[in-house]
Amino acid sequence: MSEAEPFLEVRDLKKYYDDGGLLGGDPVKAVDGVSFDIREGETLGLVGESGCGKTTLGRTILNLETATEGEVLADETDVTSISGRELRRWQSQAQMVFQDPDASLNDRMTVGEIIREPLDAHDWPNLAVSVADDREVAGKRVHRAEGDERRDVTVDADGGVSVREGAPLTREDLTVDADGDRVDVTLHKHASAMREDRVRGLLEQVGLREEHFYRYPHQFSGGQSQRVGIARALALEPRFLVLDEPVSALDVSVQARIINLLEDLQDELGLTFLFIAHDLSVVRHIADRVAVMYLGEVMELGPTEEVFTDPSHPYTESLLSAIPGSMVETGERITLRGTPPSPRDPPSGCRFSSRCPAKIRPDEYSVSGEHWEALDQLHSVFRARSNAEKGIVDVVKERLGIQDVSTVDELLLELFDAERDGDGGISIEMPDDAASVVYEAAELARAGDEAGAAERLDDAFGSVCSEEHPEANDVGAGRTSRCLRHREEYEDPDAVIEQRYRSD
Amino acid sequence: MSVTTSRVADALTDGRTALWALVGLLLFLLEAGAFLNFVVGLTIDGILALPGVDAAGFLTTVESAVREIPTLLSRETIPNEGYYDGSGYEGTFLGLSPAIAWALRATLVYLYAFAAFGWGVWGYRIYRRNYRAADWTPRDDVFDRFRGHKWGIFGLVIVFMFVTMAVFAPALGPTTVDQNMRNSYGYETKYWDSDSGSVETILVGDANLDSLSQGNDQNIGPWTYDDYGRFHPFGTMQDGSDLFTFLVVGSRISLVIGVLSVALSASIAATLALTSAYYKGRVDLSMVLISDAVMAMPQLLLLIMLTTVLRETWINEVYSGGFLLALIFAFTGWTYMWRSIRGPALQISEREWIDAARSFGQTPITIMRKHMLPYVTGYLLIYGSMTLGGAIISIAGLSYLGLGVAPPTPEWGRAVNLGQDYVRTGSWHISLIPGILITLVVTGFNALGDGIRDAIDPQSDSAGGETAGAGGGA
Repeated sequence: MSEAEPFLEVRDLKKYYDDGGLLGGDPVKAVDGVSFDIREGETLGLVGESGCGKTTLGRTILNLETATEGEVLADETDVTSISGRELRRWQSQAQMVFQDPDASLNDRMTVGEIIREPLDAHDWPNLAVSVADDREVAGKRVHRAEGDERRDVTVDADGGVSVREGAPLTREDLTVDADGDRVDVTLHKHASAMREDRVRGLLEQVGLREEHFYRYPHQFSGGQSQRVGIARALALEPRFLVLDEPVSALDVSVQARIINLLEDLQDELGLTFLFIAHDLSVVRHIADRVAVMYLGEVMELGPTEEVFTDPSHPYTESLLSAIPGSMVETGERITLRGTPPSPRDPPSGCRFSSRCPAKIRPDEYSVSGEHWEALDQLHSVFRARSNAEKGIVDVVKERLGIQDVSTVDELLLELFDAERDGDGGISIEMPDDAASVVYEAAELARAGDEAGAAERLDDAFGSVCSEEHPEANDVGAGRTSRCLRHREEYEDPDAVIEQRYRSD
Repeated sequence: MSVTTSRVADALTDGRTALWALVGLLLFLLEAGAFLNFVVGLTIDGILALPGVDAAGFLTTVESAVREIPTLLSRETIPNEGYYDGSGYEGTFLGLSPAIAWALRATLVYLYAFAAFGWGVWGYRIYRRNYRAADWTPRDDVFDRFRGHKWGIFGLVIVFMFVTMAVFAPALGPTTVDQNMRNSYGYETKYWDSDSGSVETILVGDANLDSLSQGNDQNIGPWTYDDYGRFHPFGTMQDGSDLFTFLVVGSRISLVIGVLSVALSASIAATLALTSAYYKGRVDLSMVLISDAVMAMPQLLLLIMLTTVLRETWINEVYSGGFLLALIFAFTGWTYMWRSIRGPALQISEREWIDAARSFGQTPITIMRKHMLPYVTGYLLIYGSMTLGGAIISIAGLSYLGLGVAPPTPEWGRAVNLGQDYVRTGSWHISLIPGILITLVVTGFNALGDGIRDAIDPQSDSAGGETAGAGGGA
């Protein structure tokens, strides 16, 4: 597998969304510097939580979104910056299957019309005719085959003509006049007849019946509709499909059949897949390699089996551990605390540092594991609050120094499992040096300076994780992982997780 | 190609379809003369309109030949204008009284129209059951829902009767506009003079002067004869001409202006709404600004100003100024329709199938036409039918104010205006009948719009949802 040519090279791809507001503001960094290769004929799985940018990545590769920066190279062409004829060529080579078949099929069109639409849009077919010598090819709907293009019609030097099996017409449907200094090809089959045949063939190929041609999407079950979506994506004989969670909207009983169909089609047609999903077990089944995305970055990339059995990155470990029933392989469940931070304002340093179970901690404080987590959480709460849009009332309150004291107190009470002492203050069961930092930060927050509070916490408890942005490290066997713990001076992530969570 | 041919052959050998085709042919033959007459007349007009052509040559002969073809629903086949010669009626259909002859013709016209409509529905059902490749389409549900919508059906019937009135206007009136109003001194009429006991001849204009409806002393009310044996289903007007003829011909101009202006503004609105919904952002914003600017112009003042300014120009000559009115209505009216359609269009533009179409490289125009327009047409029909009602009111209102359609072209609003001095007298019918008709037709168009809306979108609440509010304002 590893010798296969890369079909697609994604290089430092970025997609930022500006709200176009007058104030500018921070853009949403949906995809932020992603690089990987997709090899010819493989399935690359792309997993991650909702909102991590995996769908945006797929759409940007297909040029449905304009890339902010970076390249997507296919056959040495950057497909993010093409237009006109080149773009149309790319569109016929790369297609997308959407998540929700009900939403992606126009319900006022029959299935036949839906599958036929790409053919009409590209004025299909345009047959590639291969000629032995360098004579010109003339005629309607034909062109001279170039490069490694698949030959639909082959004209020998002695005038023998053969038609590729599976082409939309047979030998009887065309006459070839190769007498002069050019080859005249005349088709006797009408384009619309060829298209209709093609649609019927596609229906069969995806496991639907011919009588479904005149049905409407309403009349189909979810699985059947998704087959229609797949047939539409296949209509132009693409080489590459982006499958955007193609089974997550379907019943579990149907998912397996669609997955099998996709695998069969891949074998039969030699397709390359980018399979986007949040269901890890589906990805494990179908993907050859898997990329794990978090907040617009690829955290870990490697062959599926190896990533699943021996994750390198703490995020992958947490994700895998979140699969119900997977504890056998990964031991004690590691819960992913909270929700991912806003992609508008990702944490400095490592993106995952705010939730990381293997975060590097400063040595000078002797704080218990639970309290470290509480401190991380307190920090992210303050950060989120300082960035939140505030109403006029809040702003006025802040200016006047009237802050809801109770919210900060409640936060401390809840996170640190603390208790109020006699005179209404809060005491945290923590070594004094650490506790005093928390009190200082809380004081700042009460005065309305959440940003300052977050900074205070970061100063004291932050580490290299919140300062340095990790590079993708080669961790062997074609795997990369974006974690600072792969450096020599630190312990490996899984050892740390083992020690922190599974040592008792 | 061969598939279609064999289909036609199949259809004709199938009993029910053959019967349907036969009935259609029969219905056509009954009116073939009128139809050919219309086509030939239009061709001649078209040829004469070309520069440098002043005679249509052989077509004129064709026209006169076509005129000879008998049609069922014409004044010549069932005449109602005759006179009493002391013992019986001369010149009327089968010697019936003029009232009965006229009523017979009017009834036949409506029977014919409803038969033609039924024939169309019958054909659609045969097609749907036997010939359509798809055994179900989303449109079927819409039709089925509309069929069960009583208020919508009521609207459809009213609108259909109104359209029939406009189409068959010349055949429906007891007399013609030319003979009774425009050129009343160019025609003669015969009547039975009971004093002398003989049949006398009088100019129509003079007869009209003796048939005025101007209050309690002088009045020819609805469903009465005047002194010259002429029947007036709706009575006469203040100048003695026939009110029914006036109204029937007036319905034509209302319908033409209404349909023209609504069709124009609907196509402007749809094009702009789809463009702004597809491209969003700046395109959308600029259209909002343009439509706000147009909306801010006072429509009535603009109308008065433009009709005055353009009074002497050729554009005001077209269709007695009706064309100009339609243009002004379309120009000021599209904004409201655009506003109403923009919302649904924006919603549709967010659907995933738009992305799917973009992903395989479909062109923006085709995406708008194939993937967005079908979802907006329903709204266009709803707002169109409601706006049409509004346009009819506006045209009538303008004529009432003495603006708009130039006299003497009949227009409903002018009838209301002409009769308003006599509302409290015995000649109440001059204002009241056209007033009732306007109300009825506008209600019909609104009911039809309601019905279409409920058929298209069953979730919308007919008891005053958002669309209903917007529709009422449009």
